Amino acid sequence: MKTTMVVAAALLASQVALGEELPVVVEENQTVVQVNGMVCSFCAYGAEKALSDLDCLDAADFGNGVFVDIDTQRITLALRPGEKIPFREIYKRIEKSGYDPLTFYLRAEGRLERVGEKLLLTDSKSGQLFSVAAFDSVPLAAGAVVRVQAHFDAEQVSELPEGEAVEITIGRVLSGSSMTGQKSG
Amino acid sequence: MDRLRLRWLAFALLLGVGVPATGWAHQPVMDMAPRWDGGWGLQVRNEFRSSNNLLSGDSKRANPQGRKRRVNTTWLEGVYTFVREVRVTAKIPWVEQSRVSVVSGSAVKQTGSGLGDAILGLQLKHYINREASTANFGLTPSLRFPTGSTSDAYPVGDGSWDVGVSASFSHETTFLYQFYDLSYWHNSKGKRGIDRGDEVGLDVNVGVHPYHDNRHNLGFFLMADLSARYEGHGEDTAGTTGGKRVSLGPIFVGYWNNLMLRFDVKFPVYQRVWGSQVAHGTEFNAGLGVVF
Repeated sequence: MKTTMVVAAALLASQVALGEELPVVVEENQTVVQVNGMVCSFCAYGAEKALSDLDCLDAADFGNGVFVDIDTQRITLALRPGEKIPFREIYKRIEKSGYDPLTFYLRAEGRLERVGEKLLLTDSKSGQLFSVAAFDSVPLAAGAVVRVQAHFDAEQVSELPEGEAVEITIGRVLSGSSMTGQKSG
Repeated sequence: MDRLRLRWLAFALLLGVGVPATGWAHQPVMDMAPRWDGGWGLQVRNEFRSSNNLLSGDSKRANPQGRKRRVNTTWLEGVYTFVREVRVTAKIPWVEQSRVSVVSGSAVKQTGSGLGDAILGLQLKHYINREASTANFGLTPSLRFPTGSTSDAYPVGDGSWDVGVSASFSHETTFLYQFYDLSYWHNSKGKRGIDRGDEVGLDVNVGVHPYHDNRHNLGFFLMADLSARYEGHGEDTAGTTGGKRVSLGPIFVGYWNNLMLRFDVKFPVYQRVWGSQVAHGTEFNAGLGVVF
């Protein structure tokens, strides 16, 4: 038993050391970016500096609104409540810092609405519009009022026209009502 | 490149562990920083070496006339990153040095001080960012300007325009760091009969990043370094120059936000000189850098 526990601990430690993906938990008023190549804090200083003067940040968190974690290669941005997230600007600033953004993680809440072929979610706090492209688990239907954690491929925003809705995948449903198992668009 | 040089390089490669590229124009602050567009950095670095061992070939010999050499160089180094693939680097040394040489059969103390020869490098990089690692290939053409005076008894400059090129590779994870650099300098004929031979160098740093604190952007690296040099047969105002040497030693690099502190020591583990010369000696380096 002891040996098994030691082996399990060693495996866990090696996974962390090798950057094995750990579940992302996005807190209220935050967005998290998974970044390729960000393994040294000194080198990531440029990314922190470039992001720290974004208008949407709550500088009271993490000292300047930006937390760089080289163990997980993630950047967490603390947002002022109700602010829209400037995904494209964040993407460009990270890229100019010498790294490659991989995935954005965010929280959103509101009513799912079907408009034509698209299932849309407008965040009730910021008014930011998202297009729901997929679900990691149980699909939701139009009309559901939900609070979710979602993610999307960062590459998507590099050329996204201003004002266009980001296509998200809903990863976790944190709370909701009127949910159905109906397959959504 | 003759067979001897190739054999020597193969030997150096086989030793397989590392050195800091502190002596090279393309390594002003760190290899990976500043990697952001418009980033720049400065470093002040002191390099000291001293020896009173007289070598003939690779053998230590009696030194009744007390031949010795002491070189203290303070480098001001700068880097500017246009985009992550292109950066320029500049290094300007201030040199204080002395030696006891044999002139017409008598031991004579010679000194020199002042601005040495400045080096400008254009560093071209290709980065590869992966999920839990980053790496880059670098190619750096360099130019060494004759900014140093040749008028002192022990001249701080050689009066020549020299060109160099280096090829490097570095790879880094959160815990491991490795850096390899192969370089070549073509030394032209200078003033006062100074005509140093061409140089080939291999630098390797391999080490770990044992501690970091994400909250305070604080951490340090511990590395082993290997430095190997081949310097062709040349002349300066005191006689023959050049030879080959291999040094090994530890490196400590600490950082806090945008500040970086570096210490390294290079212990000579093998040295062979052309003719009879004072040994290179143990090298001590200390640097303080900042990036913006």
